[in-house]
Amino acid sequence: MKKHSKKILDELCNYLGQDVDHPMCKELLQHVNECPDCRIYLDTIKMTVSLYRKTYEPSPVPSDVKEKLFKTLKLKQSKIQK
Amino acid sequence: MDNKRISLLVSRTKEGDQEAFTELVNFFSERVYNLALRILKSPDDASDVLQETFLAVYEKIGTFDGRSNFYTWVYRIATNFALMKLRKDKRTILTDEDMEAKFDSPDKMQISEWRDLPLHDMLSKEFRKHLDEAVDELPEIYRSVFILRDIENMSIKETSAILGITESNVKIRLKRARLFLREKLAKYMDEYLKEA
Repeated sequence: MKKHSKKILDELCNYLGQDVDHPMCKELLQHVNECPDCRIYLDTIKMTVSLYRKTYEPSPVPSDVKEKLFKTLKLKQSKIQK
Repeated sequence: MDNKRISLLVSRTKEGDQEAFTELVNFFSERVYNLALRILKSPDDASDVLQETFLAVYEKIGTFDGRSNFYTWVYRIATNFALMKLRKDKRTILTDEDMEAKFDSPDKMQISEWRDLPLHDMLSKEFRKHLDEAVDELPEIYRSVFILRDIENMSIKETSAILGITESNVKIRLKRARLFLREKLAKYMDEYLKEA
């Protein structure tokens, strides 16, 4: 990686801590467009987040766990009603 | 379920309507379970957190004043139980300072080209497993921020409210989590591309 990229990458990283889709400042965008390494770097960070969103599959609550939850809540509710 | 419906169900639950509470539990239970599962990495622990969370929600719903979103309030309760469990079990919770050096060195990062890999390859079962393992390797304080912000799509403000940390801290932790995961993927992709 080119040496001059470090400062820009630091800025990129700080920016990325805010929001992947946040509009970049002109200078940063210009640099990213002119520097292949930074372009790849930024794109792969964006892709990482995007891949997690695309591939995330929530696990269903196991039926016995849900059954226990409802049983517990009903007990609690009946105690309050008493 | 929209916020209007949730508000209505909360009001009814406060008045003792069990059907309304059941609807809330049905709607939020999978989200709470998965949040806990991601933080704790244990189905048994996630199950415990699920029970504790809804018992607390039922007991405290009268104190919910509606100034924040109900789901933010529920997530905060669930996250607190999950983090308490981690501390109780004496599992390592690394601080921001512990991880600063590791995540704040972008000049050491790998610059590998895997943008053009077919989406089909990236959505394979094996790849998904690798993604899950990478998240599991994240230290807890980063994992919870990443899950809330990038998977659950909470805003910075909501994530900050749920975790009880400043918005600046959310941004720092999010940045480090994303860099950590990108690095993990870059290594995996490099090996994958070499074999291809």
